[in-house]
Amino acid sequence: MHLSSSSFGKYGHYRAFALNEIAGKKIKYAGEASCVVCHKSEANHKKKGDHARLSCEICHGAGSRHASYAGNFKSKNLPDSLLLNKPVERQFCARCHQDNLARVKIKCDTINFSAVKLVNTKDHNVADEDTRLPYKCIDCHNPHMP
Amino acid sequence: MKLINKNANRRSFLKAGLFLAGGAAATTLLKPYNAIAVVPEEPKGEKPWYGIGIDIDKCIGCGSCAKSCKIENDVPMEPFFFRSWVEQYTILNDGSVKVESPNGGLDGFTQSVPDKDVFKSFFVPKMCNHCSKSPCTQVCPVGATFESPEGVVLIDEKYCIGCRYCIQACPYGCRYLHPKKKVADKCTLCYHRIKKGMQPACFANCPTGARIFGDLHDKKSELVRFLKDHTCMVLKPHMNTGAKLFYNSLSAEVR
Amino acid sequence: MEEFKHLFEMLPKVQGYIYPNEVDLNWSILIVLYPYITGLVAGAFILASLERVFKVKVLKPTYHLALLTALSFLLVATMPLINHLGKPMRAYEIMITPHLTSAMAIFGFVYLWYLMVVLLLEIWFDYRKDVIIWSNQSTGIKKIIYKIISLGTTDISPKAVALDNKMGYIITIIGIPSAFLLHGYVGFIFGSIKANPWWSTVLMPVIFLFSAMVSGIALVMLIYMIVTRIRKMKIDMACLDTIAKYLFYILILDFTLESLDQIHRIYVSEESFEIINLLISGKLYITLFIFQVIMGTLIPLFTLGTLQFYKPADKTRKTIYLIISSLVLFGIFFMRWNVVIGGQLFSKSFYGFTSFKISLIGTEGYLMAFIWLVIPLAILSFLLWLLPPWKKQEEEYDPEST
Repeated sequence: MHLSSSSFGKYGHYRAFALNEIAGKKIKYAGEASCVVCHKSEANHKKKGDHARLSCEICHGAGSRHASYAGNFKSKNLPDSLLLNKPVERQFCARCHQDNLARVKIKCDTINFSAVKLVNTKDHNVADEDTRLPYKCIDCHNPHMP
Repeated sequence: MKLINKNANRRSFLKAGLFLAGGAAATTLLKPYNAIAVVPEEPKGEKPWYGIGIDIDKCIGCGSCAKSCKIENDVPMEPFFFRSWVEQYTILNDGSVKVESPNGGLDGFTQSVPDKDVFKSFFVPKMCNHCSKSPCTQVCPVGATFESPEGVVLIDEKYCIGCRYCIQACPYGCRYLHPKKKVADKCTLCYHRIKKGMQPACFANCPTGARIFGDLHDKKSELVRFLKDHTCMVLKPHMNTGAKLFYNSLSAEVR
Repeated sequence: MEEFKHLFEMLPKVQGYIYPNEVDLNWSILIVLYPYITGLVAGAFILASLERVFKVKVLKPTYHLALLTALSFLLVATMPLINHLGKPMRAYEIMITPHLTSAMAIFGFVYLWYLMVVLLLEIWFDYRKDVIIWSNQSTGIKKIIYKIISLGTTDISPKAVALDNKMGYIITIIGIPSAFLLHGYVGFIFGSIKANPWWSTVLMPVIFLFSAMVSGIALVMLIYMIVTRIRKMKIDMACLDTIAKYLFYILILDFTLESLDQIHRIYVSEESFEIINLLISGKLYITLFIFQVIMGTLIPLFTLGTLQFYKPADKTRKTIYLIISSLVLFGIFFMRWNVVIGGQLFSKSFYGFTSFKISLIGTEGYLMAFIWLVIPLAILSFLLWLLPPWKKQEEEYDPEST
């Protein structure tokens, strides 16, 4: 009779075991609490700036593997596969800070949601005037305390 | 004598056949009607009943939600498979509506209409509405998709036959056929995270707090407060899907 | 990357905005075939029942042919479906844990009911006597097959044969609503999807039913002409004229219903109206207006209508019937196409369209679809060889039974 599964129909018209199977999937984003365990100074830094409410993993990527294995290594000897992103490109900052009327909220002047500073990343201090070397955003702005 | 026996045999064979088939037909005719007529009820009591709030006013279209969703849930990276994506709506001065979602917003947005032509513009993050009367669950022929006791619509990937009826039935376009697994796939509200007390990935990685996850049964939850303080709307309310994804500042153009 | 090539090719063809998951069409040509083939079954059966239940004796030459045609196509009806599943090996689940709120879940039962109880039983009772006679006359494999088909029965006394006839009659009576159920139900699978305004109409089951009858009648008409030609026999024109008459009447009904559906759509002009308007005047223009409406409906309607008043020579009529039945079959195929494919071309956001490209090979290509259409014809040829209707003995002891 139970060609399907013994758990079929326990809670509804489905395999009840599926609930545990789905719940048992691996987590990729560990959450800020895991980062703070080691990266105390960065965390303290960030707390004081405009990015205080941002989770570390928004910029640095999913850190679950990094967090669970990093403790096994001396800080400088982490294999590349466990390293997280340190995005440095203008393009990355532009994801949030590039001028866009949808970010300005022109339709609404009562709610002052101005936490996000907008700039046209295509012409804002693109390169050094003398040396012509391109600037990165983080040359001037500390991403942890912009 | 012989003749009668033959006939009797044939008759009983026929009777059994008709009986079986009649039973099947009766179930066919009666039960679905019964089952359709009875709208699934929201369980009462202490148990969590999860819902979602999205504040369109706070969304800056960075695409972190869409990106983290793909990573957290191993969603294929090709731009045809999304559990969570962001749309930019631009209403032009001439009244036309332009909707964009390049790669689901995963790589961020670039304003494509010059400022002078824009009447208004905003981002709308989309994801499964985890409907309490979900049409996708209703149409699954085998019971491979279902609503969990917490009100999360899930797919049993070991049971799905890949008929894609659910994909057709979802009014919000939130389902796709997984190209490798060949079964339907969708947002699980990060069931593996919420069962451990964590936020779903798209919520945890939203920089502006535009996404609010919570328990609709817990009257003190952030979500319930959000619903109380804002005028919220669901997508396609005329579909009566019992959607549990509530948007603040939802414009009429959004579909 | 290779497996996504066709999707990347599709991306630039997207018009307007579609949800990102909507680029690919989920139901392809195999799902076009499914209602097409089931429709042919239901239609052919209903034509057969006209002779049996409603005593339209002039249709006698096509009675068994229609039944065998229905059976040949019904045997294949589920194959495109299973072929199309992402996980075909799990298809059995639909029988062991049918989710009764799903319109699709019941298909397995409706199908089995129709196959086992209606078609197989009816054909068995119809042929039982002949099969027994044939098994005595033939030798070798054929004899063994006849023995198996007769299920061990040997009684061909008038009394037993009379019972056969009675059972056949009862089953046909059960069969008519069953045929309605089978195909109306297929329409409900589409009609019940509220998310899709192109499908979601209460008329869908009825439209499917009448278009099924139209296609089934046209098919039997065509097959009758071809088979008779192959056998080098004379075509019974009275029979053909009567089939054409029924085809004409039901085509009128079908066309009326479909027009009603469209008129209603235009008049109520709901939220989805603009996108559907764009759909039928754009992407579906050729398959809907040219193929389905003009070639598949209006030309046959006009021609068959004319034939009701004016009868040209037999030879001319034969040619006309040949063309008309082919046109109707062509038109109904595209009616299914327009429903299934058309319903997926526009986005559920109503802001844009995706496009549909079908390849020649692959499980969802033209070739595969063609194979699923040829297999029933092969089965039919086999059945006609095994159970030739024209070799059946005339039932002279009929009056006694009913």
